[in-house]
Amino acid sequence: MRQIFEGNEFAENPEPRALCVLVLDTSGSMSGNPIAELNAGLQRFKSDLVGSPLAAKRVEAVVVTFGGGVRVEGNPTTVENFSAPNLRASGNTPLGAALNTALELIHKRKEEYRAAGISYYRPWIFVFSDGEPNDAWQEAAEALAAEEDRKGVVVFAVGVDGANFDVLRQVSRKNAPVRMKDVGHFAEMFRWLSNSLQQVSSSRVGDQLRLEPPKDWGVIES
Amino acid sequence: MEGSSHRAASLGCDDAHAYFQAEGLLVLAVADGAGSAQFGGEGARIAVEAALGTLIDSLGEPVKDWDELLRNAVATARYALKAEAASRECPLSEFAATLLLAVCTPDCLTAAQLGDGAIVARQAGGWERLCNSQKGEYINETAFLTVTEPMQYLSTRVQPAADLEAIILLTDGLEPLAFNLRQGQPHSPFFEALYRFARRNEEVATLTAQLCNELRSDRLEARTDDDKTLVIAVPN
Repeated sequence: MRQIFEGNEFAENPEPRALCVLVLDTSGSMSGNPIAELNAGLQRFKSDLVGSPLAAKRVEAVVVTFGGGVRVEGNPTTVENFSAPNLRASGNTPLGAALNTALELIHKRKEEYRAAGISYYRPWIFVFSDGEPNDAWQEAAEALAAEEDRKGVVVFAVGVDGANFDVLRQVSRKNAPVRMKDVGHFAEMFRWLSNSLQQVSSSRVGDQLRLEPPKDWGVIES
Repeated sequence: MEGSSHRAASLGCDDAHAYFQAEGLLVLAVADGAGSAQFGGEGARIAVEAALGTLIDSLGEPVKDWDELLRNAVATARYALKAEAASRECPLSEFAATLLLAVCTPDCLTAAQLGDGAIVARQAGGWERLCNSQKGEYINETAFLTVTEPMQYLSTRVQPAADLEAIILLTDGLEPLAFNLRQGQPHSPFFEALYRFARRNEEVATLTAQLCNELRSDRLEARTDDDKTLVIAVPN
């Protein structure tokens, strides 16, 4: 069996998928302690989700960074196969290009699910930023809002310190952005995200999702 | 299907079924209450009764537009759920249920489906699924009578009743056994076995008891743990 199904992720694992695209700010201002905390948080995210047998097979993650340019770190994959990248901070803050990349990734991944006959949950885009975008982010925010309006995606945004919350409110319109207390709270933020994704990936038909408020790590910027 | 006999087996409290039979007319209704809804089982019973009642009323006169007739019955079922939810001051979603309907006359075979489950007919020896299970895009967002715009999920079918030999309605608890999951085609060994069984020359009550035992057996429970409802109609 191993030879037949190896390499075909959907034959090996036919579980429904809950995709989360992590859109993370790795601009120069994240250098030093912030990027170290972010990397540690990503490790935590992986280990939390792998601890849940169902989530390990259902939650898919992929990291898109924006710092100088936009990078996609690997392909979307279930968290059991996900390895947290070691991110480095440099350059400016092309948020808009990163959002466009995230949307393209989601469209492409949904097509792959459909072609393979795999069921899926509504994908998430989770945006984190510590700064002011320096590209044409407005168009990307409009495209994202339109996609969210037609229920194609769920968007959450978190900002810290130098983040522009007027921008983040335009990016994440259905769920108001959260201001993280300080960069020492990445671990709690990723714990919240992994808990929420566990809830989504085990939800059944007709279930109402009741996500926890950010509580100990942030404040909602409504 | 004049002179039909009916064998219905219902297990589990969140499913409901009902039928009406008169000369040259057979009306079948099945609903599956959502497990996550507080009053899903009640929702299923209310939906079945409301839809069946509307169909019987409308069938007193010659039918001009079958599709409209079916849509009207589904809309009435939804309205009945709304009225119940309003009178008990609780959210409509607590009565979430699917609905399957089939009407047979000597000329016409029609069916309507909203949500999971299946309506399958045997005509001239072949099995065919009459309606689609119109799911939402996402696995946890499936269609019920109680969603915001339910009619977008409704699938209907109107076709000649020529060589109609059996009609079977089943809820999603039995879908893993009844269909080839990949293509969604009826699994004919399953349906042929039911067809032969339903045509045995025995009392309906005896057959129903046997069918219930079979549906409860460990062999089947191992493959599907959901509520199961099966309604079979074959000519005498």
